[in-house]
Amino acid sequence: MAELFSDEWLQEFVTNANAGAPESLKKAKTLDYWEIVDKMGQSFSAPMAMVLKADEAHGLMEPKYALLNFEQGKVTEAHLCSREEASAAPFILQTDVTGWKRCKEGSMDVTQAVMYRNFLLTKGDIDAFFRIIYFFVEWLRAGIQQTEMSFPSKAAA
Amino acid sequence: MAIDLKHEQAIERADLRQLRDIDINDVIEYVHEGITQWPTSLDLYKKYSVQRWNVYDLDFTQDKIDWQTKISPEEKEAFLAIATGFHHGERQVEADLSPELLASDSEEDKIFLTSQLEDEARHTIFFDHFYREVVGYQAPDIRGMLDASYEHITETFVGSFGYLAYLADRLLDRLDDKHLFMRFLTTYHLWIEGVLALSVMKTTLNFCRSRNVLPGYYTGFNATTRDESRHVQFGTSVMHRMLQQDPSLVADIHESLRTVLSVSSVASTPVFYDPIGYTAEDIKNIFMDQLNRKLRAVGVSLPPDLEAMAKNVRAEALAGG
Repeated sequence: MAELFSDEWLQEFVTNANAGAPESLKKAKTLDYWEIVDKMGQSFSAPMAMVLKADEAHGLMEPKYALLNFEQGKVTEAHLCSREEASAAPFILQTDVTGWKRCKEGSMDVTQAVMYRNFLLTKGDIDAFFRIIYFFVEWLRAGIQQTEMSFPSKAAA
Repeated sequence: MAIDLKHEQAIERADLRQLRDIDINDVIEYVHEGITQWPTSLDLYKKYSVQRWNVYDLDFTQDKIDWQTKISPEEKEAFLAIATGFHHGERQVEADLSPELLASDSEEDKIFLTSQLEDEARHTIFFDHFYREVVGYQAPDIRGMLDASYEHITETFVGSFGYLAYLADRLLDRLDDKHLFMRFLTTYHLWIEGVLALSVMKTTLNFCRSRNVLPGYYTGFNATTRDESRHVQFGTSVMHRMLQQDPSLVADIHESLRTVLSVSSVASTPVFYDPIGYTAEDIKNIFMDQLNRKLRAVGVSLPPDLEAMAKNVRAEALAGG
């Protein structure tokens, strides 16, 4: 099982997130909603950096960075990167281990992680981001639900 | 529908016991009576000093009996779809208000905002007690209770409240940015408090009143609505004042509304209001009325694209107020 923000995790996560919500989840929500999610996704093409904040309690002493290139709502290329490369992206989504872990365990929803700032846009136009927020919520949720992952821990460090 | 002076004074001075007998529709009107008079921040702080209530004085004993014996599963579902928006909404506005206090350049405004902060914390406790003592959820702490009730929240909630959280975060970094400040005020006071909350507050409260159930909830939430009157009057007053000084800030009001309206035209999960006595059309009409009244108070009109977006708002998007 690949660890959060490892190379293997990133590729698997992006593949699953791009694949979208599983049928069981799609059926639980309205058709209108999924149409809007698709439309929102198609309107987004830009590089976005994802940052995993340093978290001493989880043995993560330095932040980790990934750069994802979105083309019409799909990530066409993703790689782990340096802080400098991430900083140059027009959008930066800062995340923390707790948010990923709780969303994966099901004790927190992605929407809650946004409101509690576990997933926080620290760079980029927040109006533009929120006008397509359902796309990001579903993209992240699909990736989280369908990707097995382990988390940094103090013991492992 | 204006209320007469006698009613207004009764609402103004009512204690918790008296609020139990006051009609929520009159309290909603009381909000708007205040707006047209442009009270000062210290006037509103004085009102707070008189109107502050003790959440621990509420008795939910009868509510628990009513919940278990008088309210059907369909009614519970509709009720919780709306009430849970407030449970989480109160937490969000409590957690995200402090940047406004820091950004405000008026000492009087800062003093009022400390009272609002205390109000929002009390409202969060109120809903925590309701879910714990009446609905029957169990959790070790306030955060645990929020997690427990989150199953009733739908995606539309994050459109407005996530946006507020991110605006709060940006405002902390740029306390002198008047444009950002206006966007925050629009989202917090005009949209979330003045439109979302006031559009749906009356639904659960009218249900309680017409069915003669949940007296503890009715009393506490009626008191909460009266508190909101001060918050909305304050927020619209500050917005009006800022617009007088710099009319270009209207663009920020429009942009914020464009953002929240753009994610309010769809529902991921339908909410059925019929069991508690409302149709989706009723809710939309109330919403349009609340939106237009607040915009008139601030002195702003909507351009055609925003008018069209407002007409497309789904009732479910308002349940998160």
